[in-house]
Amino acid sequence: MRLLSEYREDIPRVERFNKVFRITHWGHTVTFLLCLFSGLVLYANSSWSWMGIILGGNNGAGWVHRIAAVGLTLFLVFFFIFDYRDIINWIKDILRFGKNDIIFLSKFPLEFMGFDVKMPPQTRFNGGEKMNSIVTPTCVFLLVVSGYMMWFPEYIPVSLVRIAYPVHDLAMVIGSCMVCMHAYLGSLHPGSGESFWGMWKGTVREDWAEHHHKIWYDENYGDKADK
Amino acid sequence: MDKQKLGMLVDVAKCIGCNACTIACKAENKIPEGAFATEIRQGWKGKFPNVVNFYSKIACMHCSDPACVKVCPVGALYQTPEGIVVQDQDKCVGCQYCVNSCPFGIPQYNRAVDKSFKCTMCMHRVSQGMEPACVATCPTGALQFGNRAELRAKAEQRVKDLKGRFPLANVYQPEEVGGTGLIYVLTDTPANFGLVEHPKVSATVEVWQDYVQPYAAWLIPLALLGSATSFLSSRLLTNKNEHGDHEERGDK
Repeated sequence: MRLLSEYREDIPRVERFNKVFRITHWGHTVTFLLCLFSGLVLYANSSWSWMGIILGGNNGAGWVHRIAAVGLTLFLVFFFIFDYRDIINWIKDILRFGKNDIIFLSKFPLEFMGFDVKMPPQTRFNGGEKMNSIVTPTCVFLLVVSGYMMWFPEYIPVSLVRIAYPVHDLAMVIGSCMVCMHAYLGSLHPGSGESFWGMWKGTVREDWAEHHHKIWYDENYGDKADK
Repeated sequence: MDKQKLGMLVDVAKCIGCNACTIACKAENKIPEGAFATEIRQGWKGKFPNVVNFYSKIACMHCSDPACVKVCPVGALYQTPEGIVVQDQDKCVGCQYCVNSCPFGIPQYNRAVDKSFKCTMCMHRVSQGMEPACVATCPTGALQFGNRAELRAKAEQRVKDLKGRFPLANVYQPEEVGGTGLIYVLTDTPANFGLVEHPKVSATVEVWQDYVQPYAAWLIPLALLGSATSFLSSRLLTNKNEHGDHEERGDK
């Protein structure tokens, strides 16, 4: 049983994610998981205390959490400084949410369970990826803002700090659910195919791109591309 | 009220604002410089020459239904059987959740050691049969320590006696937080003494801690379970269609 699709260089490949995008993505993978594992030490103190022991007790976990959180913030800054254009393109692509995406989302549960489903042509990000692109960064944004509010409450009105705690928790839960699904769908799900290599190596097979992201492929590499 | 419960009576009519309690507390509990577990707040009312001076000892109220204990993620804050809210400094991780949830604004954060602290009614002294440091040192008898119900009766009697001189005299022991361990004999309305008349634990704290926080995180294992189900079912289905024609499938 193969876990990931085979990486093949003998088949023509096209770029899907540039270096800045990929560094930010994997930087966030590491820092988010560190924050999650260390944060759960406080959130689920009774059932997750074993992780606290690994991370150096409650206080050790606290420092892992804060250092990783600063790292996560720096990756955001890095992304904004070096590739703000790609962020704008990303947002533009999310705003193209339309009929095809709704059809994609409504058929997706079948695809998720492993049935062969015929999907309408998709833009750079399909309907599911668009949802992930909205929800996960929103959660990360809320986590960062509420996190610094709780870290330095002396500069924030107490009524806002009180809201920051549940916001931080809720964004953690929703964000973690999205991350679990995203990690699985982006790697081990048979239907995800080349997606993993798109984020790991930066390129995907041309035939896969045309099949799974027809609109994006045509606009960038196909007939409609302005070369 | 539980007969076992301990409390402290603060009689502001006897308080002269000497701050001896503040100093005794700092020395006894090694409170860091610039911070206080109990302090005297001073206020004024009226215009010269008819100025009234108010002193009141501000410290942890020892709520029966304490928000700080509810929110503390590591169980550093807890309630003793005597109804006193104490803190285990070794367990505190300095998250400051208690600092921001207390309706009286009592716990303080000590950045030097990254921990919060508050009055523990000197339980380490009380368990040895002594009075709290502030009570033991008060030169005017404005502070009394003992059985909560008895102190309440004393306070009510005292207010009755004071009514002649201070028509607004009252007993301050707010009910909103399940009742408090501190009982004040006031000569005027609580606001004049810097006390919160109707303390209210923020709804975001209550709803979140009681109803959402304990269950919300189950969504995460649920998401993992969904992925695992899909991992198995999709592979079973793909194997069945081994000779299918979906050329992009990874396992071809």
